Amino acid sequence: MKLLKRNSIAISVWLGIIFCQQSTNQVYGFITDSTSGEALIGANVFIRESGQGMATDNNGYYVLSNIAIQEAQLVVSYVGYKRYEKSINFSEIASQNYNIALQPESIELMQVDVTAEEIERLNKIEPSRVNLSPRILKAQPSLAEPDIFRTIQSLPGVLTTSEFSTGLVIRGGNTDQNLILLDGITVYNPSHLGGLFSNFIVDAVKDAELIKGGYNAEYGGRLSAVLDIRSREGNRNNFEGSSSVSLLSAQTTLEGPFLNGAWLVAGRRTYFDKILPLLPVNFDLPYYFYDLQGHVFTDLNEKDRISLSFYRGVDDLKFKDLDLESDWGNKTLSLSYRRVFNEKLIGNFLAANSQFYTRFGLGGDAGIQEYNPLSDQTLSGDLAYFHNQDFNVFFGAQAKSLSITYNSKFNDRILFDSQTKPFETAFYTKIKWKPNQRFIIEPGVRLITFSSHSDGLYPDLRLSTKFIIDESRFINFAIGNYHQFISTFQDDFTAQILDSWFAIDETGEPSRASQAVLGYEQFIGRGLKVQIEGYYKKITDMLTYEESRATTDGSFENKSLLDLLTPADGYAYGAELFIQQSTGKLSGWAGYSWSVSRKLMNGKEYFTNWDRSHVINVLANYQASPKWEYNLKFTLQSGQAFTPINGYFLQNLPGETQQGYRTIPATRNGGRYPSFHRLDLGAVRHFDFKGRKFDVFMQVINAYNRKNIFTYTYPLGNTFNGIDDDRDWDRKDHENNGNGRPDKGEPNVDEDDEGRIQRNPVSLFPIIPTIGITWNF
Amino acid sequence: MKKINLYFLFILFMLFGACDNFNDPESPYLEKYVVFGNISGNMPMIDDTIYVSRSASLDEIIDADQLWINDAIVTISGDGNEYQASLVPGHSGDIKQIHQLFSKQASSINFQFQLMVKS
Repeated sequence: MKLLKRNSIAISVWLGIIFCQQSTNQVYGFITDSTSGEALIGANVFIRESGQGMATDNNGYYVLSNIAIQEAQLVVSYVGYKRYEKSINFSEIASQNYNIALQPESIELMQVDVTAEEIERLNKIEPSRVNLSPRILKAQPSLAEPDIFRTIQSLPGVLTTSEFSTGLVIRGGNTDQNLILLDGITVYNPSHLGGLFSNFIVDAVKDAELIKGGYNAEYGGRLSAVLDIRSREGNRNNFEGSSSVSLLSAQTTLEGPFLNGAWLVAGRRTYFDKILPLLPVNFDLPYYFYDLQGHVFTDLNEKDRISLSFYRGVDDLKFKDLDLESDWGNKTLSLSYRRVFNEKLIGNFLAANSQFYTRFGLGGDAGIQEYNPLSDQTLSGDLAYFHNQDFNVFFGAQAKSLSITYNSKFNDRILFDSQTKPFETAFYTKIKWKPNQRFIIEPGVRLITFSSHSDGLYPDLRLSTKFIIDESRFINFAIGNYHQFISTFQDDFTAQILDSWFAIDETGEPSRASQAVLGYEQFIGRGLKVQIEGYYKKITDMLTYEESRATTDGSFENKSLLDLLTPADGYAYGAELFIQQSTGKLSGWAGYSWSVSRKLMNGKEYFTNWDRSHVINVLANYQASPKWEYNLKFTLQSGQAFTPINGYFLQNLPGETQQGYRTIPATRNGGRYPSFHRLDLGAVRHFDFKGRKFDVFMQVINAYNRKNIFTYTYPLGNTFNGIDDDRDWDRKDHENNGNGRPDKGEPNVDEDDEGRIQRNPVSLFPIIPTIGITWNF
Repeated sequence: MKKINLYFLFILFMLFGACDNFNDPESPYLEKYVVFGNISGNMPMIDDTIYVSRSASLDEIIDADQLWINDAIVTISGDGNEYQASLVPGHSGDIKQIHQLFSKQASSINFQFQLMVKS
């Protein structure tokens, strides 16, 4: 009661602001695609005479208030669509509703609307934000099979932990420190093995926004970055579809009207596990994945909409020779309800279930078996109040119930068995305030509770600001603190291919981070953008696996996390230069980043596994003619940190029949792999056959067959096994029998110096060509 | 001009600031002796085995079999007694083995290794 009294004045002011509406001129409504009826996110809506405007929100909604003039020209502009203009007269009706359907425009004729882009820049804070919607992917250079994650990997500040990895390392933050959302649902494993494909089928994605750092209070639970993806809604006017077939995968998207809305289903399956053995390459990969993504919605009336969204995907990897079997997957289902309370207040409410599991087995039933299922039930509500173009309020709440199991056993003996059922809640509020023509300020606060620390309230304070030098030059600044209560197992010695999640318990503290971002951006001429951004990130209490016990030690059943994991701190900082050209025949971007990522554990500081000092990325598209376009992606990265081995000793354990050994590590992450570089090329031929459009695309991944090193192995050779252990056998000089392989009895096989451990580099991807066709129906 | 200066400053910053100033401590290879014992507690030491070898650096060109040490003197002391391991017959000198029967009334025995390597 005291708390209520003390804050009653503040609450009254708050309520007054929200519900006290002035009778001013305003215009509001939804912006949609005229052919499909889909809401358009990020469309620029502005009043020509006054310049006041905004970009449509995730619902495609806009509201412009306090329009001082009686006769105004409403303009709507959106990349890929014809510009829309309408004259409005407020003399009789002050508040007018316009739901506007934009007509698509062919990409070849598309021009950047400089006026609309300028207005968006003057009204939106975008530190470290990159929009990756399909319209941008198609307008920007893309590889023959567009993919959101492949595009993300070419941005400065974004790395992968390895060429085989499924995770993104963004500005020195680990892979589990990124919040990945699909229609508001958390996706715990968002990409497939190899880093070539994300889970998200581009044809089913309407909008994707990556915030590399300094994100505000509407997001929480992660320390580094946010990738927020929205599904397409489907064509509410006509049934249509598209299909694509290549050497790597096949994909189909279908959509059509449903009641007073639409439905959409997209599916994809790879089959290079079947194709690669048939190609003349000495490379086999018994791996496949599939994705199934869908969305259906209907408008109950003008104010209410319900939607259902789902995703299902599985990765399957089986090496029979190695007795290795592994599969992992995501499954999400959500029900959302949108309500337009009045012209200025709109709410979105969500009930969602997200499941992720990993299953790993090595050595059959007598070997290692690991199973890690995670279940996430979430209820959330988000409200947005558009008071006027200079003052908006956002607030909401979220309740999340998790169930996480981690089970590991060896030969039926349980090594680790843990099950936790944590519960997390969060409340947030954020204000967007433009006090004058020079500043935009967004302060926010997020309050979090977590069941294992029930007596604690964890506040996250966030602030984003934009200083407008002039209509083409801006300074962005963001700062904030963040908490994270669930993480994946991190092992500094061994790169993790699969993610195994766990929640903190009573014995440990949640991971925390503080971030600061400062950037300068400038727009030059038509379509050229230059951005310089620096960041600093400090992280504490990252629970890390420390290899300090023998493999024959007892099991860890029902023990605390701190018995197995060690809290570690870390920091990361860096600077990025990003140059983007959006228009013209040659478009694309080039990025350079310099970064440092360090960790501190047990009083010792060292580089993280994923530290790479310098990264250069180039993504380019050349529209040679209306029928032909070419694209390339090139990356050059300095060597990744790893822990080198500088010795070994022999080991004979009971029951072992073969000679065993163990390696002796040198300084933790004190070594560097050779530099990593790769070139991907593509070409697309557009066809129009009797009104039907289809494309033939050709793509070469790793065009000059660079053998980038993924890891080193240290096998123990001998002088009688018939294997070229030190790999100095040359086909031209040493082959005797013409089979192209080193065999017993040939020179340089079973040499006297092979009876010791050798350091052998392992590379993953050779040159991979693919060809395919895409058609619409 | 101001635009160019800003980008030039950035490049300069990269060149100077990108120098690696971290002096992480080195962990050079140090040769060590390795003793592996396969001894069961509270059980008679029959056929219990101890292996003695040395480590090798990654660059050392030596056959792994030559890392075993065949002239180490291995003794186990405890419970007021001292037992010396003997070479396992039939092996090339890399294995020491202990043969000893203990009284069944002994409830626990503490072992201390003493390893002497002939130079």
